[in-house]
Parts: sequence; structure tokens; C-alpha cells
Amino acid sequence: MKSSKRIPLWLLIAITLLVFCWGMCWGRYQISIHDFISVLLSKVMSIPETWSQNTENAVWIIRFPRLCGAFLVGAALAMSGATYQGIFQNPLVSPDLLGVSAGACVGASIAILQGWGSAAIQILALIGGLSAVGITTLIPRFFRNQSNLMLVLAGMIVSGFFSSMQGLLKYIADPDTQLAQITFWTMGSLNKVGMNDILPVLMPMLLGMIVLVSIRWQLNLLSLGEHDAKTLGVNVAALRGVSILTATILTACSICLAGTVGWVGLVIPHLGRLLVGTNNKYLIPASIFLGAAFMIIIDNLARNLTGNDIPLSILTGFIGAPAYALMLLRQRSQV
Amino acid sequence: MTIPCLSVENASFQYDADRLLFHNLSFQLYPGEILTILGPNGAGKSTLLDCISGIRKLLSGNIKIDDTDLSQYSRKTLAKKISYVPQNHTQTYEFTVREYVAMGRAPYISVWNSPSEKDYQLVDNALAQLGITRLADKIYTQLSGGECQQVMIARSLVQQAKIIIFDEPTNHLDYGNQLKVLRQIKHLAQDGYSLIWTTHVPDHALMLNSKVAILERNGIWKTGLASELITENQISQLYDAKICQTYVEKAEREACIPYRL
Repeated sequence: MKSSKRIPLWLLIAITLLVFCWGMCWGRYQISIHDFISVLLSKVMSIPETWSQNTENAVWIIRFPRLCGAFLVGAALAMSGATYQGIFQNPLVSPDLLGVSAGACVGASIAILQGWGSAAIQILALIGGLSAVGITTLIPRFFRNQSNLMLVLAGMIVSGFFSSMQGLLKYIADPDTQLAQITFWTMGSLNKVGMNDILPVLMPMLLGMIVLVSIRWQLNLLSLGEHDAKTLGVNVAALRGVSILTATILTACSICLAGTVGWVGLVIPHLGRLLVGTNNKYLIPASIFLGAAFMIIIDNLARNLTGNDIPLSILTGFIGAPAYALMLLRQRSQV
Repeated sequence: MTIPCLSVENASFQYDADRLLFHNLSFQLYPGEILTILGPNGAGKSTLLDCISGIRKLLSGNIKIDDTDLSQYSRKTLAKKISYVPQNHTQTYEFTVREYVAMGRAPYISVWNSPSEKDYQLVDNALAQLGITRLADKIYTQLSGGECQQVMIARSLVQQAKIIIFDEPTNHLDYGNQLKVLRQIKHLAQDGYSLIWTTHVPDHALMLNSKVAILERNGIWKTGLASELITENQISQLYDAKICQTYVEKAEREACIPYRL
């Protein structure tokens, strides 16, 4: 895309900050912008306290972690989606391609069936997701066929298998308590996210984002196809391996925080391409803030639209699917 | 005695155990030379090109570039020595021509970086050299077949590799564009590049008056000058068709064309 037509990154960052502030202020417990900024500043300088303890709690204990979680989850899923779409030269893939979601769901379901707490659910979800992708990457090696297609097929096999396992776990779950908990977990929610949930995954997620941002131009080369990339001197196996590993870690950590959230990884990269073009040099950074802003908006709606927390996947689907249709409509001449 | 920039000795390759694609294949290529490879479908020409560019490994034999074995080069360094213009194929993503050609600079860009101003200057130079500057901001996937071919050649040029391999470059082109590519190959050779390319049309080899190699379906490999190797017997036998070779006075060259159908 010509640089003149590209949406500038600072604009996307500004929008993200705006919806972040909106999220901080909007809620059952209204916080004015003045109070919100004062509470933030009070951490770095001394300001006369003009707000109540309730406000302080609402900001630091409830909303700030939740919004940070939304930022991280949205950014991570969007980046992973863009990365996978580049690696597999297919704009229809999402981060679930290699089975991370299916594996995480099984891990979480096992923890829920055992009656363990949220920390255990998160850990088992992480293990489940990473194991599933691990198996997916071993299958091509076993078949001695390291092509992209083989990897995708392996992902289908593993996802299918883990989905069935998930079905079995739901079947034996107690319909009064456990089944509901499993179902809500798989639909995604940020409603109980606190700083002690965010801090453990913060480092891996930030590292993952830094890695992908650093190698983002190389992803363009992968999208040319293996043969072309090799003739251009790219170590395709290594680059693909690092990208898949990083994207998987980002996705697995997001699932840890919020459960499985659909549509973000698929749709946000497309929106990014419409706004900044295909070049990953601009698309990856754009995906971070588009994904983050989108997720923050969704979470704001999730917690405020009704009395209860609406699961995230419901909203991402309701908003994401029509949005995707609109994007395709706009691009229909090129499809 | 100059060192050949590319030297292939006793190369052999097979995909499966019962059919050797080629064996005892040898040739040398010097700066400014063109090697036209002829051969029927399935003979193994593309595979040979893949072996030369280091994408596939030979079963036996060796390939040397500038007198150093292929295996001694790192991937990136090899990409600075040999570039590959693929057959016209569809691209998934809508890069602009400038962005697409800039990817040819990959061997010179570290994994943490992206093309610099200097790289883009080389891109613009290559586009100008091929006369396609007007395509710079167009979307690659919206170009015609001939324009795509030109852009791929531009990508090869910014790779600044002295050996350029073309895999059946004339296949998807109209007649005029085919001749355009032939002219470009000739000019690149005059600029000092060494070129290897494959074609299904023996007359092309005569037009370029290049070194010729024939890879037959049974793996037999013959090399020689166009004037020696392209004979009525050889071509007729190779393609199982009646071919006539004669000097055409009006075109001022030897030509190789089929007899009346």
C-alpha cells in the first residue's frame, strides 16, 4: 500500500489509549476521567486524595488488570493470526490452526472436572495447548514430510482428536456445575483477571511480541512460499519454527488469561491489511493495537451491556462475523 | 585459464530408487555465458535447477560455485551468488511491486531488519533498468503475466547474484513477451551475468546462439554449442516430431521449426 494511504501507527495507538480510558471510566461504578487520572498519577507523585477508596479499588484491583488483560489478549491473538496467515500463505487461518485452542480446552476441562482452582485451570490450559501444538509439529517429522501442508493436516488431526476428548469430558461432567463452568470457560471471559493472573504471563507475552515485531519483515519472505524463500537465502525451517513457537506461546498465554476467544486472530489481521496493507512491517505493529483496541471494546461491552458478564466469544462473533462480511463486501471486486 | 563461475561434476539424482533422474551430469558455465536446457516434460530439468541453486541435494557428484563446493556456502551467501526466477505463479498476498522486488534484498538484510533506503534505491534502479518503473506502486497480484515476469526478474537483479536461473520463463507468456524475455537474457549475458534457463522451444536456443544442454527422459545429458547440438536428427528424436532446421535468409539466422502438420 502506498505510504500516503496507510493509516499511521500513532493513530492506532491513540485509539487504543482512548478505549482504555473509556474502559476505566465506564462501568456499574462510574469513575470520572479526573478521578481516574488522579488515581494513576498518585502512584508516581503525591496528590491530595480527592477520590474514595472504592474508586481506588475499582481502578487498581478490578479495571486496570482487566483492561491490561484485554490489551494483551487482543494484541497476542491478532499478532498470532497475522503470523500464521503469513507462514501458511493463507488469509483464512487463525491461531487455532495447529490445535492450541483444542488442547487448552481439554486441559482446562480436566482441571474443572477435578475441582481445582483457577490457577490450576490456567496451568493445565497452558500445558494442554502447548502439548497439542507439540504433537502437531512432531507428526510431520514422523511422516518425514516437513511441508506446510503436512503441518496443517497434522493440526487438523490433533484439533479433531482433542475436540473429541473435550466432548467426552463435557459428557461426563456434572451438568449442574462443572458443565456450565467448562462451557463458560471455553467461551472466554476476563471477569476474574487480577494482577496476579497477568504477571506470570506478562514476560512471555512481551518477549513473544518483541520477537515477532523484530522478525516481521522476514515473515513476508515466508509468505512467498518455501521454494522462493529458500532461493532468497532464508532458513525456512528455522524461521518457521521460531514464528510458530512464538505465536503459539502468545496464543497459549492469551487462553490462560481469558479462555478461548474466537474471531480475533482471523479478522483483525484482515482489518489490518485493509488499513495498512499486506507488508508485515506495518501489519504486525498495526495488529497489536487493532487487536488490543478491539478486545478492550469487546470487554467493555461484555461487562457493561447486561447485569452479568457476557462471554467474550459471543461478542467477538456477533461483531466479528458481520464486520468480516463488511470487509469482504468492500473488497469484493478483488476476491 | 579462468575459473568457471559454476561447475557441475558427475551429478546424479533420484526421487525414488527405481528411476535415476540424471547421472554423470557435468558442465561448466563462465561469466557472460548462457546455458539453454532443453528436454521433454518430466525429464528432470526443474530438479536439476533446484540442485544447482542448493534447494535439493545431489545423490552424488558435486557442484562448485567460484571453485568452492556448494555445501561450503551458507544459505545467505549462496543466495548472493545464485538467484532463481521461478515460473510464473500466483501470489497470495497483495504486495506492491516495490515491496515484492525489495524481498530480493533478503540475503543482505539481517533477520531483525527490513530493507533500508539504499535497498529501495537498488529496487528503483532495477525497475528502471527493465523499463517497468511505472509498475512500482501497483499491486503484484493485479499484474499481467508478462509484467509479473518482469517484476520477478527485477527481484533477481536486486539480489545482485552473478548467476541467474530461470525456470521455464517463457511458458506463460504471449509471443511478444517471450521474445522480450529472450532479449533480456541476451542483454544480461552481455552485462556479465551467467544464465541458465529451460525452454521447450529449440528455436529459442538457436536465437540466443548459446551453450545448449539436452536432458532426455532416460537421464542422458548432452552439452554443446547450439550450432552443434541442435540438429534435425537430435531434435526430431528428442520430441518425437518431424523438425526442420535451416538458414532463413529473411530472418538472418538458423531456425528450427516443425514441418507442415
